[in-house]
Amino acid sequence: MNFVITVLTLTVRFSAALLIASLGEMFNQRSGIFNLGCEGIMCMGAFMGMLIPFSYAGAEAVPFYINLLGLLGGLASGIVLGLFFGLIVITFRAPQGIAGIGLQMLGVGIAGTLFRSYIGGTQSISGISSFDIPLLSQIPVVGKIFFTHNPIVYIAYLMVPLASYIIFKTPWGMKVRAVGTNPRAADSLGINVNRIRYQALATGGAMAGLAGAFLTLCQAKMFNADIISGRGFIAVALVYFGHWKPSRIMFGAILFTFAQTLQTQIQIFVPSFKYYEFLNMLPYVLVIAVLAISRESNKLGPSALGKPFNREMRT
Amino acid sequence: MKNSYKIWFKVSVVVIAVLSAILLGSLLIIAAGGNVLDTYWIIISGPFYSFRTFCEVLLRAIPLIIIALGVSVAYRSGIINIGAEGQMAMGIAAATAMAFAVEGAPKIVAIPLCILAGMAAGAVWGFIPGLLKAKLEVSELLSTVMLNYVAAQFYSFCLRVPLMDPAEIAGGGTGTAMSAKLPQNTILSKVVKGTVLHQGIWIALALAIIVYILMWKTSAGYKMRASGASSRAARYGGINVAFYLIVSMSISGAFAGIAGAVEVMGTHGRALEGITSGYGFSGVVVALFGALHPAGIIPAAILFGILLYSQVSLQLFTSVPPNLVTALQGVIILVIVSVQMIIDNPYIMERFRKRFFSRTKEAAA
Amino acid sequence: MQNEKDQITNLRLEHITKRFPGVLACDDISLEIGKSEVLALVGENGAGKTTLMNIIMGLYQPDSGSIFINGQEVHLKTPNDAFDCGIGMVHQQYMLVPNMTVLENIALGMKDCWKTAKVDLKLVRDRIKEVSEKYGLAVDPDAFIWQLSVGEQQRVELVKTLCLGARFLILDEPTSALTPQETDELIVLLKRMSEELSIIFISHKLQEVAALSNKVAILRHGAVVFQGNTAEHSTSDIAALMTGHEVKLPENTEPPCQGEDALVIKDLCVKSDRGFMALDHLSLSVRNGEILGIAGVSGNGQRELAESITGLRRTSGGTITAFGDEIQNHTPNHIIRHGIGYIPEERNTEGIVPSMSIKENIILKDSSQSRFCSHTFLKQKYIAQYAENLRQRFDIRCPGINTAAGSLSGGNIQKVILAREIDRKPRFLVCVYPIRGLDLGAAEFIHKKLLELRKSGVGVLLISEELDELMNLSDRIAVIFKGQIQKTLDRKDATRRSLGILMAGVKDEKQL
Repeated sequence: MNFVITVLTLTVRFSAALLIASLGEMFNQRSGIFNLGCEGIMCMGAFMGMLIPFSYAGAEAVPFYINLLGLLGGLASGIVLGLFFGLIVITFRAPQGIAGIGLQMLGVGIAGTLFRSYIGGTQSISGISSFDIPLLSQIPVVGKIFFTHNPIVYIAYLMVPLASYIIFKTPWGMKVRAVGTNPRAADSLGINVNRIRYQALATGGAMAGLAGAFLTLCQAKMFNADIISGRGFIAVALVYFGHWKPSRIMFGAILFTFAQTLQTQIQIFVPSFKYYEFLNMLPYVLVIAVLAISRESNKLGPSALGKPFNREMRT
Repeated sequence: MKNSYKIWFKVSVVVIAVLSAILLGSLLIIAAGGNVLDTYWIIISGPFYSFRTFCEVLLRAIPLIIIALGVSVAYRSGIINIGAEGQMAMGIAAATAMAFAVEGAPKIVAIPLCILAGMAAGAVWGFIPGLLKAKLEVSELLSTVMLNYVAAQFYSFCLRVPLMDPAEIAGGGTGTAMSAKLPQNTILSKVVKGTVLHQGIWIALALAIIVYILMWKTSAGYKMRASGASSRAARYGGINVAFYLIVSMSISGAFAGIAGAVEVMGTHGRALEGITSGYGFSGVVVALFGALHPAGIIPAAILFGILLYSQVSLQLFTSVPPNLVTALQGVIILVIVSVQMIIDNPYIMERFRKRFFSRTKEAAA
Repeated sequence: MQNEKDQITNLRLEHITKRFPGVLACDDISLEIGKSEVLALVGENGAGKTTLMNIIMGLYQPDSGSIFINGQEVHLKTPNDAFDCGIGMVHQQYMLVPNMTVLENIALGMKDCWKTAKVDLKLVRDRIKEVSEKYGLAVDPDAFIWQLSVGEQQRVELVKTLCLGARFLILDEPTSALTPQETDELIVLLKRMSEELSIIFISHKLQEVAALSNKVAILRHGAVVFQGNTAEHSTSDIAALMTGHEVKLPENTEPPCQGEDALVIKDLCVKSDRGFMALDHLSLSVRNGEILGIAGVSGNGQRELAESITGLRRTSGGTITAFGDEIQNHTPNHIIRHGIGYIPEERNTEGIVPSMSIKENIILKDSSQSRFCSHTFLKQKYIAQYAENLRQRFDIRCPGINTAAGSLSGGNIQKVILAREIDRKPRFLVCVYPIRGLDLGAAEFIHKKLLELRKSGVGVLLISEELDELMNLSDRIAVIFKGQIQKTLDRKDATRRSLGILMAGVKDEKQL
């Protein structure tokens, strides 16, 4: 029982970073941009989340607003990298897949470089701690699973309906969907396709950066260059899995995190189990399997994904 | 010259691109608290300090050449292999396992068998994403990255359980996860005594020639290039595009597997954690930088060998962290892909012509 | 909506010129259209009709020339400017977002329903209701676009344009994807609408031009070659002006041949990319040593016919028999080996690999045949010699055989394809729009080669829109319409007029 509760609690907590990042990637992809550089942006965000509180007080506890500043720093760095990516793939129309790899290396490289010169080695920060919500956390089982987290986890989950609302109800979301599916149609109605795509990349970048900062501030409370360990790529895959819908993406993020948490907890609870690497593989194999089976002709997805827009290019 | 503006256009795009890459690098060096000129100087001059340091560069170029060759085969066939990291890990595991199985066999048999084992394992790891792409339209970018993580886990497992050095756990406890030293008959000997450079360099060069012959001299290579250059025209020409997609991806994986085998048999002498570190992605950069051609890949790999080696000299002589090199590689990819698109864009070229050449043209007319 | 009351009584284009790199799309075009007029803009593919309309919509900027509305010059920089002037356009490829509802698609253009935090869909719904009632255009506002048929989608496009306040309609080939019934309905509807609005419509279906328009303008190679009142000219005159080349090209003067059947197609059914039946129980046969011309307005199944014969498209019924063997749904390679050559419609993207050299493109279909390849190795020297030989025989003008094929001019690209296809010694050749967009010299050369091929006993299926080309070369001409062969005429019976009428979908001349 204890095992189950621990796994579920950690699933809820650890899925937040993945959730935020993949919701961000959803905005990218909905607008037609395939941003494989999510990993690099998250790494940069994670570094900012470390840098700001650490330079204020090292490992000591810092006031909450400093941590908040860390989150905002991650977010801002994400916007910068997202817009830079836009320059490459929107303005220069470079192929998005390979450019994404470039952005990933750039992000990881910058974060690693600056980390070594400003922080040095492994250092910890106090971070944002979890707290128990009064009363609700007293509910047996459910209380522990759902109501003992830090505020960012709740914000992450609130982002699901919010992203849903933004993408499906607001004028901006409508335009994002239009430029990602039929940019010519949007263009014929006087919508500036490239501007909307830049905006979506900034939004997606902001969320990836925030997700990275979350990892350092709320989860690991430290930074190293491998901290993202593929979450950025998984976020991209989850968007496919989630058919570009926030609720399904949330389901994917939870499923993936569950598989990962389960695997780490088995190692803790059953130390005699020798083949834990195979458990570690499971989440990744799961992603591949899911990509292979969720190939149905996607009438509801952004069909212009990965294609640069060029009004004068005749088809 | 009627079209001289085209040449000027291309030259200026490339010059601006190189300058902006250097500028971005400089900004990063400044941010990291280093001296720009010193840092660049150390990156460039480090390898030429002595013959031994230059061998260090060539040592790093070996896996880069082999992986980049494989990446170029796939890229030319229309599929991007960013899974070399995982394919290499599988190659190392298989080659190591084979090395212990052929202990005592003559060197001339043992070494090819180990390399073949690595090649086969890598090929399987390339075949999977190729098949997924050809049959189920799974993006190879995602599937290869996921397979990298799966391979990394499998590799750790191999090091920890079946291939674990018995000496490490002899005294009880868990020990360091690594294999025993490979038997002597499977070790690639050094090219020059007293340096690190091993015979893998000959393998890399031979593979470069093989790729050149395969891609430019045989009908299979021709078909792969045609499929990659225009899958529609290839299909029209009766070429089975899906088949060559799978074949090229398997070849690409096989090369990464060979790189793994060579790396473990030549450089490290035993399977360790972290052998693959970064070679997979760097291989993609080298392939692109080398214009996807063996004759370009070899010098590009040596250049990137210099860059990778500078990670060592940067640590020794400056305060600039070696991670800078990863960022530089990222900048290089972004610059290459942008430059390609800008150069091929007739609209931008037209604007360039109007801005800078319209007067001369009017005068001529 | 600020200009709601202003009627557009006059739209005038003066000296509009627009160039794309390498193409002169609009060449000094001047047009005028008055109140409640319907102008039909007629011309072949690539004549510049759509580019011109996109200029009116503010999607492209003209290099020179000006646009006047009610006598006042306007500068249309974006589609929004055009909407503000009350101009609306239904594009040939519908500008709808398939994964959004009708309501959302219309809301996408209606700026007054964009509230900060929400799209005011109620406002849109009311506007749609108003428009549908006024013009009798029923649409389901909550349906997703991908659920709708092509005809319904077009209705959505019309409603959308009207909801955005259009008082001047541009329709780009509105009937190109419609069934005959839908077409009839549309014509009735447009006639009713033309009482209140001015309309420009692009078409090359002359029957519709006659039924709907009161003025007609003909575009050729980016220039207006004719303007006048529809009523004063017969459809056959217009057809002649639209497709006519005055230059003499080589002619097939031999008596019709009596060879064996080379290719026999029975009841062929094929689906288009959009999923409707592009070929609907089509049957035809071609003899050895015969050129069978397929005449028809493009989009009536020509592409699907060529692609299903060559194995590039799956068929859903019927048989294709070549030299006694059924070949439908075989691989393209099998069909190539069976001796069927193919000169495709899209020469730049399908007929050649643009980034490869001429030499490499020459062996595209035979890279593993013993002619060019021994024990998996390409016979480089022989290939070079062979390509050089073809370059001379086919007069391919290029710096050398190692030049990238994509950098050649259209005519030379076509010669590369022709050289490859003819010198492979096919037993049968499928040839689609072989001289479209080519200069006369290249066209003449290509026609000569096709006639030589015929003489050597090869059957040719020649798909074309150019009536002169068909009448010059073919032994028989079959007219394709809506995926079926309307009628097959012998060369001596085929006149421009009789073909034009059949192409317009009329089997019986008296219907006109």
